[in-house]
Amino acid sequence: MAFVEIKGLKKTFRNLVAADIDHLKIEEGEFVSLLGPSGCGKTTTLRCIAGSIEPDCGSIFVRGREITQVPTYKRKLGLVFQDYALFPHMTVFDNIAYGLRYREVSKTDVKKKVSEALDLVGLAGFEERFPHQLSGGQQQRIAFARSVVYEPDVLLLDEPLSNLDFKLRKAMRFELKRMQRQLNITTIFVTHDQQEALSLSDWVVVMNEGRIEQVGTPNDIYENPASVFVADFIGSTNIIRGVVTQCDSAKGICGVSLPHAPELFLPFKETVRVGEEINFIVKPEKIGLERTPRAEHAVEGTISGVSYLGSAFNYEIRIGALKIEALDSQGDYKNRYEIGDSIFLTFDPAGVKVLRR
Amino acid sequence: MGLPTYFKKRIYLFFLVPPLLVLTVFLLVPLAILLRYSFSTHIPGQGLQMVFTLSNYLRFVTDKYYLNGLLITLGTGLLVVIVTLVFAYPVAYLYAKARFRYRGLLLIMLLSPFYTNVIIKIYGWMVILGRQGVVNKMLINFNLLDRPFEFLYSYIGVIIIMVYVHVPMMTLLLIGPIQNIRDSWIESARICGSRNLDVIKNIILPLSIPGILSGAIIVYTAVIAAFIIPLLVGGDWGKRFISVMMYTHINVTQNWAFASAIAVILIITSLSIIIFFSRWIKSMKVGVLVSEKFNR
Repeated sequence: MAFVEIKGLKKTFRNLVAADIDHLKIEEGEFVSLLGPSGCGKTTTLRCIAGSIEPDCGSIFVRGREITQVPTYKRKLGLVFQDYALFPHMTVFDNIAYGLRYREVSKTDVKKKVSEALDLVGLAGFEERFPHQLSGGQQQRIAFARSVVYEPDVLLLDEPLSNLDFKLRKAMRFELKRMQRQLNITTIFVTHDQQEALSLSDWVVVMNEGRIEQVGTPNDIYENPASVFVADFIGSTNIIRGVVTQCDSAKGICGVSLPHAPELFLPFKETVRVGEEINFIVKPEKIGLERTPRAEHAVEGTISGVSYLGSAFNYEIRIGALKIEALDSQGDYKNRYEIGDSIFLTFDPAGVKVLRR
Repeated sequence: MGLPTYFKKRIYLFFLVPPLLVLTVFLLVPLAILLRYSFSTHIPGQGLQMVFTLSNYLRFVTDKYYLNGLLITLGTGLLVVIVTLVFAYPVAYLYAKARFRYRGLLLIMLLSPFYTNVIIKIYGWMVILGRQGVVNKMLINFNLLDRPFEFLYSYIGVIIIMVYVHVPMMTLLLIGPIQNIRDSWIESARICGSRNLDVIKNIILPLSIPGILSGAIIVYTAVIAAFIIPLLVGGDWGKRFISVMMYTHINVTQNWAFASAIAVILIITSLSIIIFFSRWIKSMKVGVLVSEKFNR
């Protein structure tokens, strides 16, 4: 049995399915993200594990022990909230030591463990401060220290980085990963930020409308999304839905007809049947842009929007009624395309994927 | 324009004039008159004599009857505050924290007593608690009593009605501070290993203390100043309340001088209590932490 296992978990709020998880396994020491838009059931799942919500049915196992009916205080979990939830009337020391009250730890060991935890989060010497005297980032670290000091079986993180500003959030991402590695603690991380999920996790669980859409490594999720939803949620990507009109298996190119747009020629790797209506997922960074057509099936379009990102250009291109986003990280600023320019698009077969759902 | 900058910068002080005027005419001047009266003397048949004497105060501190009255009044205040808290806190908690479906109705129920005059409330309770009242009839029907219990014209009646009158106010005062206790604090404590009782002891109660104390001060001062309740339902007991003594001296013996002295003593006592408790709340870190820094 896996270290953490969820079987047939279901929770509904007034006929609305909040979470419906058939099966989810997490091995010891792994960092797993539950990723999805708000209302996808990620927080409900986490709260079921934490014990603050009772699921309608299903069971949750940690270390082979079923905890579904076990009260929260006996579950041996750690939890970091989005608002850090440090006790405002207690010093940093008392906050961190709070969980140790309920474990048989001698006074000297409490001191030792608290100072070790403070060392881990890089805030040694902060014992006597009160939460309101700390910055958001510091409060976050203390909250982390409080949740790991008593060595819980599983650490639950409920969007812990969302309240930090952009720079700090990026820095804390590295910190979080470092601390998690150092402690080798099994971690379940809830987030709506795909970048956070991709950069931190061993496994990403993409959720939608209470159900699991896909489980995979970050690279898997990014390169091989299992559904249009995952492809759309994971990153800015082009989803082109059309009917296959012709198919050249030898060259690996098929024609696609779209409403209010000329016929488009796209590369494919999977089997595609003529007459089928399917989705093509085209990665913006895998679209080549040229002023003169070089490849045989280059598609002509017009630049309708340019945004300069510093390291790259983000173009919006119109082909009839179809809008396509392309990311050009090669072009230099002087030779950029302007709105209204006519350009030719070539699609790298590695950046095109066929999805039927 | 023509004004020097010194006055221009302090033009806002002008807006303080109307309230200051009202307070001076209707509060400070009467208080000064009261203070002056307290040093005068009363001769039966001749009325108030504007002399300067400490005799009223000496009479108060040397007569056990009055000192006992003061003690009974202050003690009753404490008792009522405690009982009121016991009733009000769970209701406030229910309103502020529990996912309670009828919160709107609860709020209406809490506010509606304020629309009724206290005398009408008292007569309402007289009907309920009287010898032929609902409570006595029920107790007799269930064979818990063989003859009616005298709730009215006794100490217990005063306490029951005082608690009833002040529970809504206390509840409303507690709702805000309890709402400021975040659910995530409670959840965090649970995850760390706290059972329900530990959560109450370590998190909910310490963080409620500022609210409890400020509610307690308001109810306490209202209780020790109340005279209608002990006068109407206190019977012989009611006469031992300091506020009733004051009333008697004014309305029965017409001794305004002594009544004024009692009033001054009561004002000083309750002011000292307010100042002492406010200082105490301020000195507690938890008050500052919860009320100022964390109500983002």
